[in-house]
Amino acid sequence: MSKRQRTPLLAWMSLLVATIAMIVPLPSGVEIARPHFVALILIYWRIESPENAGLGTAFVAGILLDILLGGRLGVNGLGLVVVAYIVGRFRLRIRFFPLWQQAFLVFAVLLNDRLIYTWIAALSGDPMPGWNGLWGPAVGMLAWPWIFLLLDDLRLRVRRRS
Amino acid sequence: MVGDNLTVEGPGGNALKGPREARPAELAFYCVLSILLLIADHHGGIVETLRRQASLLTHPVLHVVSTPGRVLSDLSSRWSHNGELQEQNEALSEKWFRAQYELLQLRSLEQENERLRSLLDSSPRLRSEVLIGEIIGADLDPFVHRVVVNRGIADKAYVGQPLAAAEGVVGQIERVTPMHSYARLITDPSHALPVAIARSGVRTIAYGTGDIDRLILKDLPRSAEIESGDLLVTSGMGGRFPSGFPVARVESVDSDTVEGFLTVIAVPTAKLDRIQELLLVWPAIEGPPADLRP
Repeated sequence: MSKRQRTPLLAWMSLLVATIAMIVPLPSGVEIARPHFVALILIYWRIESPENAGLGTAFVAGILLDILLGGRLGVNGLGLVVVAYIVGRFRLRIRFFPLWQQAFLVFAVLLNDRLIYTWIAALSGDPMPGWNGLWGPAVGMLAWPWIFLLLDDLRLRVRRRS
Repeated sequence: MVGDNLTVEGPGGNALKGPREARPAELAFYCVLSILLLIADHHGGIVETLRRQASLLTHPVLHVVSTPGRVLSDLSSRWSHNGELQEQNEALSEKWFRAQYELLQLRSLEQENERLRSLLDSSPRLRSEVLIGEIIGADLDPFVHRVVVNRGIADKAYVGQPLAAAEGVVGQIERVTPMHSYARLITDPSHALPVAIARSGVRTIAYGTGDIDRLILKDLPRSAEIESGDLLVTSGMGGRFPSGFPVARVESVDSDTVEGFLTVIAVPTAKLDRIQELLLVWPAIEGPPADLRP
C-alpha cells in the first residue's frame, strides 16, 4: 500500500525539481541550450511507471510551467500532453531499447515539442526560436541517459524501502 | 483530473499487461483544452483572473530560484573590505553632491517652464510617480526578452506600465500577478517603442531585435537627419511612456538599402543584461488647464 503512495510522490517531486531547473539562472549564451527538464522527467515516468504520470499530470505540469514562465497559457500544456501521449503510445517498445537508442527517440519527441512551440509563437506574433531552438533537444538527448539512470536508481530505492 | 490514472493497475507495472494506454480521445480532450486556454488567454478576462490566483502556487518557485543570488550579494556586501566601502562611500557622496546641484538647476528651470506654460495657457506638467523595483534572478524563455519584477498588483503595477533604469527605458509590464509582474524588454523582437531623435526632433519607432544590446529603426527616409552618436528619447506618442526619457544611442546608419529607408542600429542606454534595480513609472496624466480645475 505504501508503495503506491511513495512512487507518485517521487514523480511529483521530480517534476517540481525539473520545474525549478527550468528557470535557474544560467550564464547568458548557455541558456538557449537548456534542455526541457520537465519533458525529460515526464518521459521517464511515462515509460517506466505510466500509472503515476497520465496525460492529466502532463497537462497540469505544463500549465504550471506556463504560469511560472509568464508565457501564453497552454503552450507547455499542449506540448507536454503531446509528449506524454507519443511516449505512452510506444511505451512497450521504447522500454526495451538500449539507452542510446532511447536518446534518439527523446530527441525526436523534444523536437516535436519545439515545433509546437514555434507554431504557437508564429500564430501569436511572439519571437520564434529558429535554428537556435535545436540546442535544447540536442542537449536533452545527451542528458537522457544520465537522467534515466538517476531516476531509475531513485525509483528502485523508494520501492525497496516501502 | 490528475488522479484518474493513479489507481488503474496494481503493483508491479507488468510490461505486457501494463496499465491502460492513454486513448486518443484523452489526447484530443487535453489538446482542445490547451488550445481553448491559449485563445482565452489572448483575450484576458476570467482566465487572467484564474492565472493570477494560480500564480500564488508558482511564487515559491521563483523565490527559491532567486535566493542564492540574493544571499551571494548580501554576503559580498557584508564581507567587502572596509577600505573598499569607504572608497565607495566617497564616490557616492560626490555623485550625490553633483546630482543635488543639477537638481537645483532643474528646479529653477521647472519653475520657469511652469510660468511660461501658464502664460501660454497650456496645462501644467504633472510629476510622474515612481517606485523602485528589483528584477528577480530567474531565466524565463530564452527566446523572449522577458523578466520578472518583484512588484505586483499589491504595489498597483499595471499592464503596459513603463519601466526605466537610471540610464534609460527598460521595457514595459506585460502581465501582473499579486506579488510579481512579468515585463517585456525593449529589445524583444515583438516590442516597438515610439522614439524621437533628441537633436532633430524627428519621430520614428524603435524595434527590438532579439539582441540584448541592439535596437533597430527601419522607418526613416534617407533624407532624415540622423547620425551615429545621436540620442534617441521616448516621444510620448502612443501614450504609454512619458516623453523625453533616454532610450538608446545611434551606433550606425546604413543608407545602402533598396527600399529607400535607412537602417539604423542603436544601443540601449540602459545595460539591459545587467540591471537589477529599476523604476516603475506612473506617468502623469495631463489634466485640464489649471484655471478649469475646481
